[in-house]
Amino acid sequence: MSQAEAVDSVTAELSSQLSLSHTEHVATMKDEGHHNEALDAENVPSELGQKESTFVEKLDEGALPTSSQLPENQETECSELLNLEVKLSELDTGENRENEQIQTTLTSGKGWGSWGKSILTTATSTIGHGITAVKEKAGATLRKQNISSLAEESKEHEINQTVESDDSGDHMPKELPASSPSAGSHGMFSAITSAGKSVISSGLGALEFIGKKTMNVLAENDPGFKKTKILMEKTATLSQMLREAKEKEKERIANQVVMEKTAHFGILFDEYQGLSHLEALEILSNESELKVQSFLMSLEGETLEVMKRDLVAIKEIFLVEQSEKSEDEEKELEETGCDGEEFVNVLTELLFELHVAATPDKLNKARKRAHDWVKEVYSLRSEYNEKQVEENSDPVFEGEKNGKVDQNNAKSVEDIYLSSIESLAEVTARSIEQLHKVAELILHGQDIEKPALDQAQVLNTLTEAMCKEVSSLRKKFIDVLTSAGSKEKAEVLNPWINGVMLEGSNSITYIQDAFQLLLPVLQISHIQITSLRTDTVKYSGGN
Amino acid sequence: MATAPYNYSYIFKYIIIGDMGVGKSCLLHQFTEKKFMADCPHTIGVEFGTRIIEVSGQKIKLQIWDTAGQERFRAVTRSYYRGAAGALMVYDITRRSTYNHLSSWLTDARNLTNPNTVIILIGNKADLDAQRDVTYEEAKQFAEENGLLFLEASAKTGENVEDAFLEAAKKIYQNIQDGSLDLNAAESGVQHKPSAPQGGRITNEPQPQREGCGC
Repeated sequence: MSQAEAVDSVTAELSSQLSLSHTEHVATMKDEGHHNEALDAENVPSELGQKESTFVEKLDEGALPTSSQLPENQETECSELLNLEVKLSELDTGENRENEQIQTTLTSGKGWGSWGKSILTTATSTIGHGITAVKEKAGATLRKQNISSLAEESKEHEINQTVESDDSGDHMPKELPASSPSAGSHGMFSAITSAGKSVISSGLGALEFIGKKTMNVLAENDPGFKKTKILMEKTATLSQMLREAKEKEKERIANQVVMEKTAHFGILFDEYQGLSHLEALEILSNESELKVQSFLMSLEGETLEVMKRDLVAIKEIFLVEQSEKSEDEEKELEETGCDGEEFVNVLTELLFELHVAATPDKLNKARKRAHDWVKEVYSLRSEYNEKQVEENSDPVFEGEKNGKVDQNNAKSVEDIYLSSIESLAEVTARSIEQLHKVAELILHGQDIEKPALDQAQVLNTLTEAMCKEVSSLRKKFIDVLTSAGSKEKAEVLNPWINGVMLEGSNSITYIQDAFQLLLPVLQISHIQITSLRTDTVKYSGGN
Repeated sequence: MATAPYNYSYIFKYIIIGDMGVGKSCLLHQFTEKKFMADCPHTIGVEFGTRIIEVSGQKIKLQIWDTAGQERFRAVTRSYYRGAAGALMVYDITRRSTYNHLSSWLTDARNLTNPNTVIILIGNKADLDAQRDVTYEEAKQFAEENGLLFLEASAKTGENVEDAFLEAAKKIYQNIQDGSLDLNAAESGVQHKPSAPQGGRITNEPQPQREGCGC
């Protein structure tokens, strides 16, 4: 396989996925959205057929020396993609010897013990670096309105993205920045690099423009990218991606000479055991997927068709979530917000509906903590403002006093930023924990009165509620940052706001990805219920 | 905020297994929080705990998977054994049935983890000596016959809890040092941080030397 081919296929895959993920966000792109939905619909029926033939295809691909080294990947939904990954890693080892981790991708399995799947991870962390770099450079020039215009500009930057991905094939290998520890040669990454190149070659104006665009592209599309991977390949990747991204972050911190207060979503997310729950959920998901596949292989004729139809019906519910959420809806919900106990009620009710005995205590506490500190900041600030008015002090001293009070009394703007990131990490971790618990309860085979199809529906709503909550929290955090930081310089404040924006979208993506992991769980649950029912029928028939 | 020290050289995955109510979650809680949790709810599926310990001057992060003991979760929890570097197999010294079930837990642990996984047998609730139903000696003998480490501990008083986790870690570390545990193996359950050689391939050579360890 030539590198160019590999890159092309990556790029093509990526672009299609990116445009897919856009439909979630871009209300203005209805036409495109429909297009994608149509595509989805076409894809669905063939999906299962594809799965069936996976093994056959694998044999055919024996020509590729590396595919035989991946005996565990039998569950691959789409063996092409596996293929793709192999090609990628070939590329990498060829291009960049320093990247030792790539080899693990080939040789080690997908278990916890391995550092495998490095491509993804390094790509992610590279993106992370890219984001940081771009953000730092461009952040200074970015104004607040840029953030609010994110949504409107998403269409534009998609075009941007496509263009960048197209020529990624030519640039990619040479342009790996020296600081980057990896050769994550994905389209996503090349998008950054090529953007980076233009940044250097163009003037400051271009810097601002591209920096802003790239930010948007990353913020919006990084999630899509991750989703792509997780859908493509049901091996334990997301948690490993995150885990390694976190490790990198840690190393970076360890190397920092000056210890400054920093907020690291990945590390905090792990501290709240978000990674562990995600990893465990991935294990369940992969095992369920394997079981579904082998069960389908044992069927034939009409039974197979019926079962396939059922499973596809469940799958369709998982696809709906991808495309139907519009920015408008999100905004509306952000505004109405779930400030009161509404979220709690919704959550409890939905879990009850699922007929699983999982209480949302931890998640509720996490979100309550988040809302509480925001409230506290506001009340402290208004107290402070009142004092200001009462004292009505000499304007010369006001500035001085201002600083003092800010330091002593109210949370500093930086503290607000740090708390925001921590809260996002906590709520996200708890949401994923919740989904993991649900998966465990569904799998443990209690008497489920609710058909898997209905459960899928409820879970979809549940996930949506969680994402909305994160979304509304993000809005709150940005609001409080903005109001508290009104006196800060833009170059200080904007990176914080951008950080919250970015981690907020990442959080939502993680939750949605975790939700996607539930699909095989529900499918196997459906199979178990159905076969149980059939057995019962047979049994009673025998009597 | 993020207060945990970021520098550790290894991550070990542990699993805690054993019958319902033997005190698995309490052991974990005592180990991570240094507190006794009196009213511990039944674990659903699996819960997690982490703590960084030190063995031979090396900082090691333990990532502990505390599995549900309820029979109905057995199918789910079995999925979590894979890739464990250490397993704490817990029984309740005041309930003979929990001891009698050990062979079934041991079978699972042996079948679902790799041959190098260090298994330590823990007789919990050692503070309730008056109600003892399983003698130290017979458990010790069972452990020796099966090549397990063994300790009696109390999640309530904290007695030997620290040691239980540490002894297993020492043994794992020793296995790494003498080369019997291949870090590159996908399921070793150990991650080594600073630029560990990553080029390894999956080695499935069984390394069955599992000496019983008198503690």
